[in-house]
Amino acid sequence: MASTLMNPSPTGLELIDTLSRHLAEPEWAGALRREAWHRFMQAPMPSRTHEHWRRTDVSHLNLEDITPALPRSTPALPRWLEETIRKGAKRIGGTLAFVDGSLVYSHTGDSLRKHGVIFTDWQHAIQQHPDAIRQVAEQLDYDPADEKFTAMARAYATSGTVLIVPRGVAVTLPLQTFFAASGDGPVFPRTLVVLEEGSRVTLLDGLLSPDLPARAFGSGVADLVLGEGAELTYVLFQQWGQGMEYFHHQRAVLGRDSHLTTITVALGASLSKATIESVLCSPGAVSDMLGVVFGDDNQHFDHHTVQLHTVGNTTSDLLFKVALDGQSYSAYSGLIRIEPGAQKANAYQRNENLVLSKQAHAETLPNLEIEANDVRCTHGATVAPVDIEQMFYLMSRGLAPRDASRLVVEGFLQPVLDRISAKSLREMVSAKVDAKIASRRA
Amino acid sequence: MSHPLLEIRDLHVAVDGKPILKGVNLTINRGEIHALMGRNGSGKSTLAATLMGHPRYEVTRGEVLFEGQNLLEMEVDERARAGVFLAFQYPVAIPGVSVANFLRSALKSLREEEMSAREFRNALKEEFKALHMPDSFASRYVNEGFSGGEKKRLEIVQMGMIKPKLAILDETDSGLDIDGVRIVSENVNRIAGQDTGVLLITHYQRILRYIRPHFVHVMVGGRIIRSGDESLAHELEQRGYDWLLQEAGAEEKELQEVG
Repeated sequence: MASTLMNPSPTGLELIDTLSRHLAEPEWAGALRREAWHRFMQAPMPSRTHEHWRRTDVSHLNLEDITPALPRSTPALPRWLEETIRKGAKRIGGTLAFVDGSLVYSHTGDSLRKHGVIFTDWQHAIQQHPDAIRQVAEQLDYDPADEKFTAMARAYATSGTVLIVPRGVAVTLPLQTFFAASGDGPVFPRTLVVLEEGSRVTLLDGLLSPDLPARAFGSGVADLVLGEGAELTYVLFQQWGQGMEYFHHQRAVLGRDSHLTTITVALGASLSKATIESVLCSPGAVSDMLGVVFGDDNQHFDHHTVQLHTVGNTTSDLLFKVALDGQSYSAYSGLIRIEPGAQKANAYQRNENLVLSKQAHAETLPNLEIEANDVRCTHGATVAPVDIEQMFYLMSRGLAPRDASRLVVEGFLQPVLDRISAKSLREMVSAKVDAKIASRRA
Repeated sequence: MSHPLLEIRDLHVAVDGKPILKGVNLTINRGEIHALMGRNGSGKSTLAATLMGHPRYEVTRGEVLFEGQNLLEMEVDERARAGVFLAFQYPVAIPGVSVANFLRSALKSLREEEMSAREFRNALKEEFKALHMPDSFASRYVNEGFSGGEKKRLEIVQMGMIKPKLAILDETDSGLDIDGVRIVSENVNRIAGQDTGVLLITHYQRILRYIRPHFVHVMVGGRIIRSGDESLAHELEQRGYDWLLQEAGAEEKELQEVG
């Protein structure tokens, strides 16, 4: 059973120290946890008067009342998660699975170890590779707009994924992590990926749960660090069940000539808000950011992307596709920021929204801050219902309206999913997207 | 089987409140090929789209029976399941959806018994071969980036997979070169066989060399003003449409009305 730290109620800082002790963390890790907690306590609760929080109301949340559970001593792998792993992607180089912040499953191929690849949970990583983690962890930043939630995740996370790929190593098979929630307490997924010079890997982080009987809370953070010439494909696949309210901040820092492809797939949760950020701070860096959102019922999605060019000769491209049915809502806001002196930067952004029902609503808000004069930058956005000529054509071949619109939506989203180059992951994610579209609720 | 395949009685149709069809009467029996000819804007494509159930076309008077059933009360997909097929004049692109996926979904909806994956693949392969198209079209997105001719051939591939009771071909010959017209025609004949009713809409006589109609109808100003046999098509080829207009006493003014 999960022992929550509610009773007798310790002060917040005692709670943090208890967590650190329980996890036998080294001093520096405890210090980072305490720093995160102080930031969490000091950061103001976001309100809708703040531009970044204008479209997602969090006034019903009392974050200070939410406390983490200690990792379980004998964590169990729930059957549905076991099935997900068993029936999921074939040809996988390694899998980690967590339930409510406890590691429940770990499988990594021998070749990873042979090549010195670290792919393990946070607690093992900081015991076995403290210097490598510390060096990166102490540099991690907080985005002011999301600080309340990011700091909370860093203060309370009891586990998470660490992936470090050494210089020059190309990991051929994709890796995957599943963060699962039982609904019994909050979840704080955390991922740290470090690609050393010239290395290459594909990682999928899956956020999963069944539909939850009551409201649940989660806050997660993913930090991706790409060294010179490194290539990372990172898939964030979110399919929390109904009831989950989830907040996420992903930040990638791209080194010289590195290439990042991020694919954000959001299908689940009652409410979710995510910031996906690429910082292009060395020449030659390329960031491809892709997104797929499919909402139905009363789901609320809020995605914010940031393409931050701090130096010139950098390229970012973004394609975010949203399809909505039922009474679902999606806000997409995208910032392209090109800092002074970042000449010869290229930045593109495109957001397309397909709205299937009259009650569904999509908002799109591009935002450009260009402070250099020799740049190429374009953006575009569309919000449209399903085309009646397409519907007529498909129905004239016998497809019922629901099947016809299912095909149109699948087709609308598929080109983004096709960009997941690892076939096994692409097929797994496509199948889950198609299944959600087929079973969508009005 | 006492009912004709298709009976159109005094059909009036408006688009955006503007009358286009003004009393069309036409009966098609199983196995009959009817050519419907006429100039641009005479209402031929409006008739095709109305029979398939396009939501933009409003039937203001008349009735259409398909095997004795009221076709106009059916949804578009119900008409397809009843056996009506329209080869589009301008086939629609469905980005991101492969031809194979699309046709497999369509056949699932149309047939009670599901085809096995292998049967489906083989049947599709055969149809592509018959239309002189490479198999690789199966994995292309529906009509996306297709040439005009490829789109028209894909319509006939679909007709071959679906095997309808009534095939309405809306200017399938336009956009095809001479070989294309021949290949498409041979396949329409093959697929239609003895039982399918065909309504072949065309401007030109050339497709009628390959698909030989039992009946030829001429539409002017939203009405069929003349019906005859194959020889009527030859006569139109020789003499154009003007003599017919004069003979029928159709007014120039009315022609302009339907643009």
